Amino acid sequence: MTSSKTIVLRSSDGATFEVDEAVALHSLMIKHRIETGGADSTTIDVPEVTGNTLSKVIEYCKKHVEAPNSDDLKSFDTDFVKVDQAVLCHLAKASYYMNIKGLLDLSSKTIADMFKGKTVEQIRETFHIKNDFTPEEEEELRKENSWNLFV
Amino acid sequence: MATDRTWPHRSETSHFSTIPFPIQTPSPKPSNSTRNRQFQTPSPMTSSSSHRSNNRHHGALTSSSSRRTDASHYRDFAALPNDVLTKIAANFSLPNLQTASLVCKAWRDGLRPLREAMLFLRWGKRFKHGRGGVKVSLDKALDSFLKGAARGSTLAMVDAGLVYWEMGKKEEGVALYRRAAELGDPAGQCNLGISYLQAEPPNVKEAVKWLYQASVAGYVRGQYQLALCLHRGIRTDQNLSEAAKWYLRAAGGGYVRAMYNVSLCYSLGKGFMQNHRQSRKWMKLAADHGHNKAQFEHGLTLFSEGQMMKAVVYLELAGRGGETGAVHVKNVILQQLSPSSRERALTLADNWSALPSSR
Repeated sequence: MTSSKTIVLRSSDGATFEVDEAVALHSLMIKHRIETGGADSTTIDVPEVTGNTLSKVIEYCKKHVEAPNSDDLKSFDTDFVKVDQAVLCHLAKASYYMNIKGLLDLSSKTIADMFKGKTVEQIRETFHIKNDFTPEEEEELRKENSWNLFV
Repeated sequence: MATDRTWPHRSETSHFSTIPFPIQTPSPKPSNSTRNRQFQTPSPMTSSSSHRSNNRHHGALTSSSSRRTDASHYRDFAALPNDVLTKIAANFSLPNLQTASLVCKAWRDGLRPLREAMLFLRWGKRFKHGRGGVKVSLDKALDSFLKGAARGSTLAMVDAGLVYWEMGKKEEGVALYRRAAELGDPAGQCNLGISYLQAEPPNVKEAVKWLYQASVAGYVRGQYQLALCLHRGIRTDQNLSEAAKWYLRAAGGGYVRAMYNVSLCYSLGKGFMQNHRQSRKWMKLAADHGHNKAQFEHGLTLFSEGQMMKAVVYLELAGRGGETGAVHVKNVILQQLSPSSRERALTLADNWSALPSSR
């Protein structure tokens, strides 16, 4: 068995991670970079993602590439997204930029579930979002919304 | 059962019939009631919350992470790429979408396509059902739904899929169900699962996979269909206790046929330990929700307990619903009642109305 090739991924803040190529290829963005990069594609920059997040992303890819049929994959996924909402947000963005469908689906769904049953204020609080509407803008949107009540 | 305006008429063709449950109490020859046993074709998802059972979705509590006052922190979720935002909100109902749009300006702008999709969804429904002063037009309905689907709404995808299905363009329909299913829409997952069951040959493995996802998401119809698969055990391992569990979930979610099946599970000790009290409870619930066979069964039970008046009411309802066997038994009992009791019983039947159900 030939030694598996490794790839180095470099985050926005300069942290480097050495991963098996097979694991790295779980990201279609990296796959594309490798396929079009030529000879010196052993180090790949991922400027949209910080080191902390990249580390988590790699953890996800590792599990899904190395043990895709394991019985505990579901519970791995469930536990994987039991994180601080800021981390969740970064995971969603990272999976989008790095084109990792499974992780994007997982984080999107988790975020969507956090909306259920909440008011606007509660959502803002959960996701730490500032209300940047002026009262007029908010009123305008509410008016627009009221036209859309379904028949 | 009362038909809701949001449930359009659809032809109920089926390649499957469920395994008829043997009824223990003396009964006439098994009725071929297509309504109670038949495998349903995919039905549309309503835009209201009736299919979103509340028992699974609880808002996550904010973690007690330290509140960073750093301004950039506030930008995190506000700065989600629009594609991600659209994905997150893909299967939101209109009220939820409107709420999300009010959170901040970035989300208002990012969710605009989905809000537009809702308008197309509404027009599509009008064209499909001939509401709001427009004539029924499947073509225009499809056109509207497809526009909604193009903007990322899974609700529109499912409705478009249904129209394609009605037009006989099953492949196109299934493709849309799949898109919705992969975006996490439970109705899409349920319909996709049912399509696999209706394929030639049926692909039960895939069906169960998708029905399971819909079920876990709390989609009541999916739970019932999943239970049917596991119960039949055709091309899949029969799993009676799982089947019974999912019948129970669906029944709890208001699915009337599931209530009836739960009763039989308890009565026959299939999937559950035999429990006649539970059996009776669920049979009565099914009956009260308008299930004709259940009304017949429950009427018989009441008769055996000596509750003649109540028995007659249920048997009358069952008879009106097509259970001819119930008519005979009812007549036998009526002879034992005084004229005034007879009249009272029939009045009760006339004034009866079914409890609201999710299906």
